[in-house]
Amino acid sequence: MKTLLLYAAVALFAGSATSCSDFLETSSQSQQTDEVVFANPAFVQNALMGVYSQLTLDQTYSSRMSMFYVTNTDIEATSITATDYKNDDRRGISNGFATTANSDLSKSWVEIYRGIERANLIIAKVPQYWGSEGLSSAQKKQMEQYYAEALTLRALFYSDLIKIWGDVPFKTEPTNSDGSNFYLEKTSQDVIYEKLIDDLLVAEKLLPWINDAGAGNPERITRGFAKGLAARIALMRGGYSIRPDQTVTRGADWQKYYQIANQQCKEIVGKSCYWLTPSFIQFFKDQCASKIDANESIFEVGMGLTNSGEVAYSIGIRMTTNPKYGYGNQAYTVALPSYLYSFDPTDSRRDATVAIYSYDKNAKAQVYDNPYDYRIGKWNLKWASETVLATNRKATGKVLNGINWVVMRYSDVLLMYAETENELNNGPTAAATDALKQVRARAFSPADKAVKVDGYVAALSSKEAFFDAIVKERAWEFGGEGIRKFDLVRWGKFLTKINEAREASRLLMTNGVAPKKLYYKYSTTNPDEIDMSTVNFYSEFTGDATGYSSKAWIGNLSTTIKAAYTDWLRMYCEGITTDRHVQPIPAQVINDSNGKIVNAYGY
Amino acid sequence: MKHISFKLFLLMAFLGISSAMAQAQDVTGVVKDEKGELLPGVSVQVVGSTVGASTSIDGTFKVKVKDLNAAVLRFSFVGMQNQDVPVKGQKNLTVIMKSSSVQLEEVVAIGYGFTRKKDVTGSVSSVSAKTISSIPVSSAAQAITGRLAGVQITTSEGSPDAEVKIRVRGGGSITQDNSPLYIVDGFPVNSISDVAPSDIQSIDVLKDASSTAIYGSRGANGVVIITTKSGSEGKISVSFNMYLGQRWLAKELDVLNPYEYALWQYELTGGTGTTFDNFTKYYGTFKDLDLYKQQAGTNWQDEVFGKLALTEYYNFGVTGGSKGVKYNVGLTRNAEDGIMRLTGFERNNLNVKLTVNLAKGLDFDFNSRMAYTKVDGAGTSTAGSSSNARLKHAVKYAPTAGIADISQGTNLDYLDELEGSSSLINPIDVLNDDYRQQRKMVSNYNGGLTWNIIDQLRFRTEWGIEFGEQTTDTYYGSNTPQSRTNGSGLPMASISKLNSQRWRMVNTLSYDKRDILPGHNINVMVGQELNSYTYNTTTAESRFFPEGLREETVLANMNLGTAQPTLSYKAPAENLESFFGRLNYSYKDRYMASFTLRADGSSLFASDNQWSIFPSGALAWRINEESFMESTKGWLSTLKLRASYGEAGNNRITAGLWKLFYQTGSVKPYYVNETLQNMLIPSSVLSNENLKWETTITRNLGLDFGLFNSRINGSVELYLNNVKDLLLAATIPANTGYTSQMQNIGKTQNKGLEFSLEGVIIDKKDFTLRASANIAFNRNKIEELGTINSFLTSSGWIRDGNPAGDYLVEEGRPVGLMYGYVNDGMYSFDDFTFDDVNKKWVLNSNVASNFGITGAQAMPGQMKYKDLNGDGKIDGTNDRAVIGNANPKHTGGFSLSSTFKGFDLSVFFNWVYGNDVYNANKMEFTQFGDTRLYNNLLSGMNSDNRFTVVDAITGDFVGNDPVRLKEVNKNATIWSPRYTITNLSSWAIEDGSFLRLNNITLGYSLPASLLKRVKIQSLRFYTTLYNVYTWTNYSGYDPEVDTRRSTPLTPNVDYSAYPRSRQYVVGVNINF
Repeated sequence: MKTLLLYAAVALFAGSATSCSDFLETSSQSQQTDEVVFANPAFVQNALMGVYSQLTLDQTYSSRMSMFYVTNTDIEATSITATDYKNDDRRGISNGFATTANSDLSKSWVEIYRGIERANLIIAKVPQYWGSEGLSSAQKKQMEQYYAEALTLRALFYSDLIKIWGDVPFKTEPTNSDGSNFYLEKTSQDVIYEKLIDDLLVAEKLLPWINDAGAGNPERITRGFAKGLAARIALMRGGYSIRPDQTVTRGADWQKYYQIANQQCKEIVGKSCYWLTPSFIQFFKDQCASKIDANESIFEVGMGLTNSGEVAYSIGIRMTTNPKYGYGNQAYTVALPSYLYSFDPTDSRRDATVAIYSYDKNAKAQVYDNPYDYRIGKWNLKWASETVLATNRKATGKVLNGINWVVMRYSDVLLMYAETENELNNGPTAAATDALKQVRARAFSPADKAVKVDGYVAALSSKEAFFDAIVKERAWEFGGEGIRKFDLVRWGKFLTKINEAREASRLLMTNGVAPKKLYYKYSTTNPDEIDMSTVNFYSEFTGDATGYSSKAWIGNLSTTIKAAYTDWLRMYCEGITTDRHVQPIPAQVINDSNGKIVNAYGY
Repeated sequence: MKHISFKLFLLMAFLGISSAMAQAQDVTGVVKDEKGELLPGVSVQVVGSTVGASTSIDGTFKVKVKDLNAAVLRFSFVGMQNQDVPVKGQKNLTVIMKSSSVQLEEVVAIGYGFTRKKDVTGSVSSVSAKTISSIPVSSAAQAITGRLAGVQITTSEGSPDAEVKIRVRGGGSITQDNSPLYIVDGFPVNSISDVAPSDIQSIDVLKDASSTAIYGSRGANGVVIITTKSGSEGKISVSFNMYLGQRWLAKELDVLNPYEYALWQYELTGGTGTTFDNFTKYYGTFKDLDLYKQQAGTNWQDEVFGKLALTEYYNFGVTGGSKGVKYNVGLTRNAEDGIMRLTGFERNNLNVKLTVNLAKGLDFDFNSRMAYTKVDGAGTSTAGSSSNARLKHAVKYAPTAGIADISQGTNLDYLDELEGSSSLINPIDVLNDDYRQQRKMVSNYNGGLTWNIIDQLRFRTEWGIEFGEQTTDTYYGSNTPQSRTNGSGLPMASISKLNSQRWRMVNTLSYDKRDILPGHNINVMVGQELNSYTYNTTTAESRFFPEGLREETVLANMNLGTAQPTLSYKAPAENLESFFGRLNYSYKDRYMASFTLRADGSSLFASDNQWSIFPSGALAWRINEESFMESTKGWLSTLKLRASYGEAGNNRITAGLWKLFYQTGSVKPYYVNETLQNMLIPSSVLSNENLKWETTITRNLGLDFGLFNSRINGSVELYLNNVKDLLLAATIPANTGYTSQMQNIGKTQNKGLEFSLEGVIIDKKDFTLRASANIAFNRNKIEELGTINSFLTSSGWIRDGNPAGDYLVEEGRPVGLMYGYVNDGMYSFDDFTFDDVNKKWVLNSNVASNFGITGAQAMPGQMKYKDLNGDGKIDGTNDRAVIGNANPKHTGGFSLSSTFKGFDLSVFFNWVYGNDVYNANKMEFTQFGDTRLYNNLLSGMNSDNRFTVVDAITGDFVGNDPVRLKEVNKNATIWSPRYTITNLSSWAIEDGSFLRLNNITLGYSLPASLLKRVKIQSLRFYTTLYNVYTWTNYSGYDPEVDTRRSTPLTPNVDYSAYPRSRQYVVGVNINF
């Protein structure tokens, strides 16, 4: 008995001592190693979705990249009041008052780089596995496509970083856990742009066109977007920008990059898989209703109800909480009065883009008293899907409504094409005029086409005249879409145009363009809405005012509003006194960089 | 095994027969204690035989002995010293038994064994069953609060299931958990909250590394060892304990009364516009405001927390044994209602402990603990989240319904306007709709076999397993923000489950030899242990249930709603393999030495870094045993000097940090065609394959003394703990795609001093008085942080300030520094010049503007901050400083207990001195980041005190009339809540020192003589009052609070805590 026990005891000791090696190696299927993930195309797609998901954050395209970082311009601005216009918050960013302590900026820095790292992992790992024998040729192709999507997403993230900060640390391989690539200095934006263009030109060849089988919809990256983004980045590279020493210069070899942009746009146009939706406003109505228009939209960020998407809440027509549509919104972005008056009176984009009214607590449109309150009309909670509205009606706070953010529309490609043709050929080519006409044709009624489209474009004979038309056309086409600011930057017109807009808006009070009083009728079919065709935007109202409502207008504002408006024009972009469009690098980033990163651009 | 028992049986039978055959003679006698009380139940045994008896109820006994002259009787009794009495021919004996001296003979748990308290070489603090049983407590942590020097226990809030933070000598880690290791009957557990206090025999806390090093790996933060009661042979004892009690809210925050509230709302309207029109509509004109003076209003805190909550506690225990079998069974039920409506707590415990002597030298023991806990209610906040804080509704919700109240009606428009504009919801509606129930079942089974191979050589093997299952049911009705934001205002619910398994196997071999050479005693132990822990979680969620469905229906039919993705996670096993040994040596009980060595391998690290070795050593010298101390024998009963040095480890990190892993992500997914895309994302913390063990080095110097025959005992301890290779969530540049990586960088230090003293002041037959006290000082310091030598971190109690970060972590300073603006009262009229033309206040050029952070043009009556760098403006980068320190200067407790005849009385105080509390509640209830409308304020902001722009007599708004504004505010003592935003300033930092009369107990034990007739051994009635009174200057509910616990970097924030209650209980202890 005792011997038996003794043996057992010895066995226990000895047994446990020898069986240790496996005991300390534990794993779980909930934690997949990269070897498992990247060997399986289905898992790679999941990992790729982890990259895409970084586009849906507050700090990226749910709010900051679609609004606060991409205003203010000569057409749109983040709404401000006398008490908050200098605040170092989101408004401060738009208005040129951000400091290194701004917490929005530091959060975006973190999240954009998080997206880049996820993309870096895919870009580094997928090529190690796509040649595996176990993969079918279809799977191999898929792996290539995922790789290309990751390359394109990384290019988008880096171009966003440069838009906000100019030169930034540039890392194209995954982070090494031993710390060997933690501390990086800033890389010149030109160098980054060049690498991104190279990447995109590799990526586009691996991607399907939107109309190819299996391409999905514009919420996924397709060949058209890789090319379009290459063009957009090439124009930034070839365009003007503030440099760390605060000079504003154009990138060297700019023609080379305009050539690339031109080539990419040409190929997109030539593919004929995109076209403009016949009605300008319908495109945005569909957006708000969560319907996808794969003809015009080249890439849009796929948001989800309650998880992401602030369009129509943070930008769009302002609405007070009301029983029909639910919780009201903020609508931070306003449209400048000079912008309203820059449109051709018959341009359908005017009323689609500038809303001179908000909705009251009965969801009825009420014209604003103040000229600096006009909102962007492209997004309207009223157009949201019933699913979204059902949620919003019960809400007592902001509802992330899942409405997508469009990063690139086909009209952008057409206008980039026209612009580069004009620049490279020292004047408009047939291709250039045709592209511009396509954009204008949609904006005007068929009856006006001869004059407003064909006649208008035909008159643009010189390179300068054509370029000037492009500058204007892009303003009318993209108001509120986060595109204007960086157009102005690459043209070297950031400060000039802002000052022009301020002056133009000021002059509206006195130059007789805007009437003294605005008369308008409510729609007979929808009494909550103003019938915009009844509005006397350009002359004093004459005739029988029965059935009309009216409001004091810019030509004759009350003393109080006049004073407030004047004040507002002073505060608008007050922090923007140079062509510096970039923001300061957050103090936290500098602190964590171990001395590698310092602010430049005069910050 | 069978034949051994059989042989034993034969042997016993033979002995029995042989003794009966001899010429036997009776010896009778009586046994008394030192005070002359007769002692029943004393075991009397004839040495060298199996013959024995026990004293009857009148203390008398009768045994048969073979040889009246040679026989020796052995008397033994719990709590008394064993005594061998030679009969020496007497037929009638009177035996006086001496009680075991106060504590030196006590046994303490030291890990894988016990030792006599007097042989302890390290630093161990203990609480015995006696202390625990005399004052009813509902948890183990409550039993030791304030009683052990160097063990600080913070109950985070007032809810019945509140988390208890235990810190032994500060905490060495910065970003990681600083909880000690909990061991219950040898088994490591996650929490000691599910152990029934009635089952506890003793709680021992090992404080220095020489004691904890035997637990190697996880002993760095101290070890709390709980030993549960075991049975004892020969004596069956049945006990029944119960108490009933009630608790009620200890303190309310005063808020504005209906009149003041209405006046404040009036001021907020500014006198024009929609809000003014609304005000008139719902509250009447200014002239009507006087009517509100007649209204008592609704006290929402009372509605929510005003319940007189019932507490019940029942414990039934049987302990005893017969030859070879000992058992202890405890059954406990504890049910407590919370003072908050719809909250409550219930715990049921079954504890069974069994020891069987299988054969000579072979013992088998088995114990099982089962605990079922149920917690009802969602409480007042969810740790780590601020959007769900619910206390605000009870404090800030309108105390009056305006005109509707006066005209006795309900105005639905008004309710819509109020709830829409204030983001406040009727607190009762929130409570009813915010349902949560948590059920937890823990079953723990342990078996052990002890085999005394030869004399003094003992082999023991232990096997244990624990199963845990925790289910949390959550329901959000239509009045909750969750449902309104994410569920279309329809009910939503989730069920989440956590299942865990833990097993353990230990083998130890020990050799204990006294006088191995004359005077030399040794005790050697070697052992080996395997530990494994794993868990998995599953969460199912459904939304959009049909309107009006309540929690019972919804939770029972989750498929009536729209299913959300089910989340599941299986954790990799956390395995630990260890080898350890200990050598205790003593010479003449005068010089003692102890050495331990432990090697641990952990699966949490990459294979090259899994193993680490932790050595320790300790020396002790019992000076009073020396011959040169002979002259002090009369008064000095103990004097022992102890010194120790040791290393202990820490591997408290989550599994899977050493390698890049992908996991499914659930937040902010991407959508294609409105369809959620599943994703795999890398861990949010960068992996590190070089991770290794963190090591704590502790040095301890202790002096124990006992005076006047141990009537006074005390100890002084001095320690210095250094942590190296700190496992720290280190900040790394965000351009890596991560913000932190777990690294072995950094060093911290804790040093301190502890005193404890206890004594018997009076020890008469009918009157005793005992006292005990302890005090501990600890100083914490971060010595090294790695690449970055300081950073700010956010407690996140409300939306992020700008810039973020309200706690500073910096080299050379302690953890827990509060960082913010320095309050400088309010802007006075002297700070401004009135511009008569523009009717504006213009700030004088020598006064700093706080525009940059408040976003409001400066006005007299705004809160003012100090311009620390003197640049004329207040900004987040240059004008913030350390404004508070959460670390106390000292903590401690003292108690007095007395008995007089059958009565016993004890009082217990504990204190914390010199720490700051971050009163975030105060800021939330008087300052506004968002809307001010319809929010009530703390009464300190009433119209007599605050700066106001309304002339309370005429109702005129006088903001633009400098003369009248000055007149109206001539007595104003505090800024206007109109212009504040919630940036942390020194105004919210308050002294958190307190002295608490923690409890008073008065008991009465019925005389034994009376109880004899009904065969009851003892019967005691008692009443206890808890949280009797707290002396503090703190203005919030209670200074003992800690609500932002997701990281140890942000201690002492008082935000939306469940308020503390006061309680009395009445109970009875019966022993049969």
